[in-house]
Amino acid sequence: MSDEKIREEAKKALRERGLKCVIGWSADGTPFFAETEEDADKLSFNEHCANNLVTYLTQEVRSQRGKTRDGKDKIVKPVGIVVRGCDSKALRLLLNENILSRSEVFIIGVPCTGVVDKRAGDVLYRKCVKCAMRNPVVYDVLASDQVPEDEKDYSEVEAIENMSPEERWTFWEEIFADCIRCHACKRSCPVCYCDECLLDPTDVAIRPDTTADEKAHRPRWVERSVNVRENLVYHLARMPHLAGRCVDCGECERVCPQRLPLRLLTAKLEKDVKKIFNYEAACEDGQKPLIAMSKMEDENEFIM
Amino acid sequence: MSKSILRKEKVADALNALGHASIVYIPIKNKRGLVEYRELGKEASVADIKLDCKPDVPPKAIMFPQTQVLFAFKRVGGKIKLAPTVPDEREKIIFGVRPCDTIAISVMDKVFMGGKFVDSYYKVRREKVAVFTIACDGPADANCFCPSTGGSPVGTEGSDVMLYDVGDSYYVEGISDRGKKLLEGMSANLERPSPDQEKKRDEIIRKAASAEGFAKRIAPESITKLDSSFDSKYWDDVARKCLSCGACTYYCPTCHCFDINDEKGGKRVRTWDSCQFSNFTMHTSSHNPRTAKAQRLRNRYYHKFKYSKDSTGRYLCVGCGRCIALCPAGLDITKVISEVR
Amino acid sequence: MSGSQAAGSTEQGAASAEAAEKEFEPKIVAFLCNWCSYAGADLAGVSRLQYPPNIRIIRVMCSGRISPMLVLRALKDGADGVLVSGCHPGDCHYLKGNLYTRRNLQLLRSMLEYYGIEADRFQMSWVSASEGGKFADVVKTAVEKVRKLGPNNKFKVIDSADGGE
Repeated sequence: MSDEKIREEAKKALRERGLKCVIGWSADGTPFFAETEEDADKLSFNEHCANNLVTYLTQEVRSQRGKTRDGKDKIVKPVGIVVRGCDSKALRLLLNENILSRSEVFIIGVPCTGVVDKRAGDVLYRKCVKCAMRNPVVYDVLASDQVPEDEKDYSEVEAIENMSPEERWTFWEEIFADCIRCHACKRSCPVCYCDECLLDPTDVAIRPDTTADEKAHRPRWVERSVNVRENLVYHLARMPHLAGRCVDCGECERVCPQRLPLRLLTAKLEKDVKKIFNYEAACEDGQKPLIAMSKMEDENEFIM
Repeated sequence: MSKSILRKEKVADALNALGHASIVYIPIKNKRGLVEYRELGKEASVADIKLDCKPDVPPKAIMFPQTQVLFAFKRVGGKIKLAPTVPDEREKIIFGVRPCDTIAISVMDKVFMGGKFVDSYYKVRREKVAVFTIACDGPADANCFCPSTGGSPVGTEGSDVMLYDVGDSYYVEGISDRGKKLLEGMSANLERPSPDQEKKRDEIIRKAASAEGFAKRIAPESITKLDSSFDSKYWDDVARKCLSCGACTYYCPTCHCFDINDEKGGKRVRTWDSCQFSNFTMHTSSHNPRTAKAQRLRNRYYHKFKYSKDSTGRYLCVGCGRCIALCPAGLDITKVISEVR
Repeated sequence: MSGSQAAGSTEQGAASAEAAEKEFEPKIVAFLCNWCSYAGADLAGVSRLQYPPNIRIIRVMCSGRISPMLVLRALKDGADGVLVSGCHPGDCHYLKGNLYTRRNLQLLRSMLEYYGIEADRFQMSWVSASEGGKFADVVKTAVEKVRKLGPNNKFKVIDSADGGE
């Protein structure tokens, strides 16, 4: 039922709003870019549609930006997208951070009751078992009726918090020994949109006028070597960048070829942000970023 | 005793026997459910061996580690002093490799040791390794397509010893001289094959020749289409989905690109690199010939199916299907090549 | 070395371990802001206040400059501890730099703990330009805490002899 509604709305928007395309899923669950009304008939949403498409949305909008020859801003055709609850939160964050503007996107929301992991034998993703963001929070149209939300579950994080420091260290050491740093986690993250990433020593935005000196002296926060130490730092360093921004959509964990439980990190971060600063990423429109705010009355106890 | 039988209950004994003289790598299921090769006795025990599926991680890192220190350097009294790494002299055996991965090893051999320049770091590791291959009985999983790339579920290229699963035992065949010698060493655990077992083994080979049961396939005519579709807009459409991560290349048994960096503490380190990363082709001059995702993705497919075929006469893809299984965006190499226009 | 000694006699091993603990002098990287904490350190020096020589001071213009990456990098590259010190809240030369950094680094501290890295390896303090005495105390406490934790071995990597990892 929701498939028909998605297709209908996508067609209507392509026709009436002059969209560049509608980003959605095809019936086999892979991302699909519908450019014509004909294409829109292939859009679908089912339990195999696991990708967070917001990553593609940024790409589609940004690729249109720039200046024309006479120095004017290029016209950006709006882009349509189909989003689930978790995706819509990431999208709202991008809107709040002015990476996208509301007029550049057309959003078809689909309330979601969970998607399944093909590799693990069609069982629900861990993030979907108990989910507090099943319904889209920002949308132009909804493709089906809203569904009841669950309570957010932090029991897995708490289990780790209750370990002794040594246990925790061995726990993570064992996990990150397996990381091969293919960068799928950060490449798929909808809120990781930088052109240049400090976590990859060779990923530096080089322009023709970048001097050799500049290139040579770029700090190497993380070395290219793949070993437990560098991997730990890589994954630990991602966290401050996601503080108050990560919406816990679980995309990093979903794409990890080594099946590392990366959401144990992002969920902890989310829990901390909530507990310490009473802040939740993308919980309202126009929210200020956590790290760009400061309060005199923030907790001071840990400081000597 | 180049043709013999190894009972399945004796695999453990045989492996332990092999383990006396060499390091043995066996496929095991790790904590997260991935099957990968681990060192017997150190990281894996014989009881965990998992031989009934294609491992999720290819064995390429045993010969071509993801991170390899080439040498260390230090400044001593105004002079730079180099300290070379010491090659590991122990013999190694990789047990239970699938034919696609075995062929991949011989493809890698061509890359690193086949031409005018020999990669000594690769060579010294490779020459210690003997491969025990287990023939597949048809496709190992839904993503396999080895017959399309010139491979076969029973391909013996690159193997030292070949094993065929004939029910309650393995039919064992020594392929290389080294393999035959290794079999002599484990003769205590081997028996003579019965005519019935011979028949079963022949049946597996016959079935493989017909390439039946493979859901995925690339038609040779679609590969020839690559000749004329370099500038096709098709690559932009395909690349839209790609996230530019390195999953496909890092899990590919034949992807062999690397990067060399000097790292803290005075080490020159060679690490895997991926052609999908945006700075893969960045020149010192700041010019980057492949800035767009579409160019990078296209290059991967062309390298696998055209450039290498033109220069060495064989595909650089062995049809293991791991990139299909692992692509976060669901890109399917067989589909991409089949739909080239 | 110490391993083989311990194998020889447990008593002797315990004694040598104790000796090693006594000998352990932590290295602590201290990021001090130009306007308050660095001036505080200066005052401590001018006033001839004693504090342990275990810190290596890096002067930054404002504690707001301290990115979590700097802390991580110091720990990764072998520092036993990191100390970040800035102006008291409300006194920042740039109005709010210290407040931003407090938010950022508090989350980092919590994540470090979650990883199983002792939270005391990373410490923060507010020291004003007139608090030479407090600066000496802060350093003493920080060094004592890290000394108790022992050397930072968690980030050490040992390459295998043939270079593969």
